[in-house]
Amino acid sequence: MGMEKIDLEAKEVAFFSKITAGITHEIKNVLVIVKESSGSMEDFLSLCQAGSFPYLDKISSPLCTIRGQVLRGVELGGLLNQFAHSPDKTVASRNLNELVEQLYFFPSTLQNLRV
Amino acid sequence: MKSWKILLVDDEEEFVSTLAERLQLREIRADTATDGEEALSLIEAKRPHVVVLDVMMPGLSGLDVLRRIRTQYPQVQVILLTGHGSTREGIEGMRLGAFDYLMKPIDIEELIEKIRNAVESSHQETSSWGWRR
Repeated sequence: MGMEKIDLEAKEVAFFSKITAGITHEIKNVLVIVKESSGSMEDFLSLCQAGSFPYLDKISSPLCTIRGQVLRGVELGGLLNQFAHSPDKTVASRNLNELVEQLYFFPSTLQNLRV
Repeated sequence: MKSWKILLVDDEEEFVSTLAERLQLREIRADTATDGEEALSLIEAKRPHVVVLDVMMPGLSGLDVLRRIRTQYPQVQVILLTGHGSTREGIEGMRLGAFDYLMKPIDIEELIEKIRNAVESSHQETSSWGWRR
């Protein structure tokens, strides 16, 4: 493979990595706002006295689900963000635990994709 | 209402306004700013005890604002909010003089505990400055 082609491919990888990292950052901001908003609703529900609001449980349960799914989304986005940043440096020191987590995570995620 | 003076800084307006409302429910009043310049103006005007500061902001970054706070307002304590799944920015912020850092999404009770510690530290800094004079 010629040097020009290698250089072009490196630039392509850098471009897609930068876009992916930027978008995962924005998605995380969205999830953070969703979490604070649902947390705010939980705060106000906690002010309701027992029996004063008949649908307390019906609303508390989905809010709990939202909180859990937000954390799931943040974890997925965080791993994708780290993956997107991986071509930033050709040589870099890495946290071994994070590296093992990624090595396990991506194959298992690809296996579960429904496409 | 507690006498703490808190400033929340993040370019996501909905985030800071919701967080300020949640803190108010817990008897903590907080001002908000959505960029570094606005934050520095509010710090000059209100002299908060603690600034809760997002690292990744357009324009003046959180670390830029932190450097200005450390040189101009040494009694103000800063808690950084980092956005990525890495502690790198938080560690860099601690090296620059941040009191502490938290990764987003935050747990509000954990944030309040860190604010409480930072306010106590701010009071100690202020009395230390008074003693020197």
